[in-house]
Amino acid sequence: MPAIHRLGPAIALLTAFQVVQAVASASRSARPEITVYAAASLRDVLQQLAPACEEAVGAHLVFNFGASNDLARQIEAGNKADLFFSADEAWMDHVAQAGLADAESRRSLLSNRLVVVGLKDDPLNIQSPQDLLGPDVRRISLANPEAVPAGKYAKAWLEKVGLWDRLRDRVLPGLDARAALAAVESGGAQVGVVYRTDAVLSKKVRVVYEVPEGEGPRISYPVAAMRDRPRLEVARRIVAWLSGPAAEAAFERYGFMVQGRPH
Amino acid sequence: MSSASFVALLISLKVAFWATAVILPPGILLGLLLARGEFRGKTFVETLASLPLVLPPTAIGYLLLVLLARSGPLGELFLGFDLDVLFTWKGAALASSVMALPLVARTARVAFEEVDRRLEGVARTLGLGPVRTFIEITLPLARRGLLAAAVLGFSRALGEFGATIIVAGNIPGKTQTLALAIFSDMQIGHDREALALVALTVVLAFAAIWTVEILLHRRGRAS
Repeated sequence: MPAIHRLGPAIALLTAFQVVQAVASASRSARPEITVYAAASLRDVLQQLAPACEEAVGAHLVFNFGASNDLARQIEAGNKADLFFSADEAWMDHVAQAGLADAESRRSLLSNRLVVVGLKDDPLNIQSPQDLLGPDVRRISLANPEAVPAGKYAKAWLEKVGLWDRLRDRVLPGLDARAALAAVESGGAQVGVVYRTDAVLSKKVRVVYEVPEGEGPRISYPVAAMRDRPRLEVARRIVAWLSGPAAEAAFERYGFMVQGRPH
Repeated sequence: MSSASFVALLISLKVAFWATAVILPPGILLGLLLARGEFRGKTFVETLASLPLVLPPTAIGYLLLVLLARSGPLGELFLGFDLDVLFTWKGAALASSVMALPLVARTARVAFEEVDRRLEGVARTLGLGPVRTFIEITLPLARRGLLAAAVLGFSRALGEFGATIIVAGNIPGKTQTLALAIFSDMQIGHDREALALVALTVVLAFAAIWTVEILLHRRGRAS
């Protein structure tokens, strides 16, 4: 059938692609592939740490960055992660309750802080949380406060200072912590409540208010290997490496606080 | 083009190719059934096959996710083994193929409807069996329309987003297609990369639709 012959080039292209992939994976076949599901706010620091970690542990890391709630649901549905680095304890608990987390390797590794950001050239003046009620603040960008850890933390802070009910109509919910920041960068919201570690990476925004330590919720990033995965031992070694001194220095350079206590 | 964009392009082509390969046989069969078959419930089958055209892609994606989830009817806990579809490129291909089904089946149906049945009748009276008549007469006569069905299915698969992100996630280098990469770049404010990918998808879609137009137009002139 002529139609089949015309698929020839497509089949050739696909075959070539498979070969390229096979060669690429063979070149690192000595190293087991470890799939890391990690909170979006860990993107830059983990990508920076990856080469050293791969070298030290002898693994090849594949990352899936996203909102921890999405990642937890994906793990629950598909069980394709070897390691989960969540931005809050609740979603790690969720995975643990599904019987998928390796309790032995779980630890609460990092902490973070919340800040309020605005565009660099916007003369916003936020001296206290109450200033968010001002007419200049038409929209406040948060990660989705019902599910995404960054948004839940932001909501918890606004509740703690008694402003949530008055500000909730101004909230622009984002898919993850980074998306909440991008909404401020693009001018979709005048301010955003985001992680300090994300804010300092952006060239377009400035921190207009830092949430003082006692004023906000306690932020905790737990990490654990996933059970029932063929490379559990390698994943455990990665958790251990991430808890070690080399990783600690990088986390602190990116603005995270290392908690380092076992769960 | 950055290497990440190139990888997303390759993944898109791979996913769209396999989505087309998976859906073409059932799609063509369905098209044939709708063009030639007279049976009770035909309207129901027609309607069912068109649903992916109008349902939110997220609804299709969620249905597939529920089916394939660990505890679902096609999941690891039920089957006793892992189909390894969810959150792999195969999941993206499956989601895209379901979304492409209506376009493939509808185009194939028109292709079969436009075949002159008298030619098949002549072949039969000359002693050709029904299967050989189909293979040697019907398929060649319908080939342009069927090829158009394949190209349309391929293009639809190339653009799939909603069902794919649910079934395959958005993992760079694994399941992140062009459509997903645009979304990710936009989300994190990488506007230049996002626009470059948009330009790329415009070129691909233009080429695909152009091909379909040529295929269908020439057939119109020939008959």
